[in-house]
Amino acid sequence: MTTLATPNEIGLEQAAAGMTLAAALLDANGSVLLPQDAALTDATLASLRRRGIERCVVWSAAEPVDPAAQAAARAQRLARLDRLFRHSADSDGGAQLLARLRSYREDQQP
Amino acid sequence: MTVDDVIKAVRDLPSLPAVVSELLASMNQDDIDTHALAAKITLDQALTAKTLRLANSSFYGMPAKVTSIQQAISVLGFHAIRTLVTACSVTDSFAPTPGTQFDFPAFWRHSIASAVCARVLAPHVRINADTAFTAGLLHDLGTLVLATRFPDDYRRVHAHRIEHDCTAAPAQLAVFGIDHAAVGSALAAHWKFPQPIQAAVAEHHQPGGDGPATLSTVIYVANIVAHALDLSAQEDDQAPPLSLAVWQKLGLSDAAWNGVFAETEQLYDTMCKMLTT
Repeated sequence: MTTLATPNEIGLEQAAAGMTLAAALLDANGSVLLPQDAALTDATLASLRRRGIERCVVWSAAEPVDPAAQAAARAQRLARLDRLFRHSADSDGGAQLLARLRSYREDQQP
Repeated sequence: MTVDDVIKAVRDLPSLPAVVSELLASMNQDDIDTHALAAKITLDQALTAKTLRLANSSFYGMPAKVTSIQQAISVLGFHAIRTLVTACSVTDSFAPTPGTQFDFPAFWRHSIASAVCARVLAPHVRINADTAFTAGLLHDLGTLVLATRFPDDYRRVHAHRIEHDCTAAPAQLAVFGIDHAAVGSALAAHWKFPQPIQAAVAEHHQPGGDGPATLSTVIYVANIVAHALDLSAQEDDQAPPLSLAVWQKLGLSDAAWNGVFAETEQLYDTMCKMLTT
């Protein structure tokens, strides 16, 4: 069993110390207030509230994943790729793109 | 139904709002009065509201809300706002006709997917990302002309596609004698899009010749990748063939391609919600 973290956008009022940012927080000028993967603390939360930040994206633990279901989902993604490339897998560039996408879909987390 | 009927239908289409024509024309200008253009955008309340909603979406990752076009320009830049206003306006020009069988949501899903992919690909070949987004969004507009002006004939295009398991262009050629790339290029000329966008719409099925990658190259690839990523979510979708010469011209590493796929999928979800509601 593996546990995966997924990004989850929440209102700042739901954010709590100990959560980890899944995306950097920027101010109106595009300057980074807090980088991705920064852990939120009571002090940083207070500072964000003062700056009028309303939302943030934090990592949240996903449901544990069943390996059998994971393998089935992967097989389904690859079968779908073959279907999409049914007329173009033989084109020279198409074969390259298909190979790239196959490796991308194999590694993809559901 | 002749090719002339189709071209006449394109010429009979209403013009875009004047401010949108001005924005498109400004893509070729160096000295732009952004204040004057912002004021003109603001006069169109529906356009302003939609643009601000997009600007405030997580697509741009802004922590604070922008509440005026002028503020949106100062935060996101004039180029980004011009792209948004153009996109909103063009998508509003083709309302679904009652009783049509044409799958509008699937059409827009593919257009948005191509736009987002073009935006992600463009910097890799030093093409302006906002222009690429606009061209990607508009590349299949010819299909909308055919489907909304000739709904009965378009049913035969749909039937032809199913029978031959082919892409849209050959089916349109069989029924209308003209395909959406040619119709779209006539529309892009009618609406006075900048020349590189006209060319990209006209050439989006053609890999092009030697020489460095152009906007047309980006749209050619973005269209194929959008199909290959299955973003329009149509069971019978298919990835069109890709030229090896173009693949090599882009010269992206494996890691860069993975980044293009992931970023395209991510931006697509956000953009879809914002443009189609």
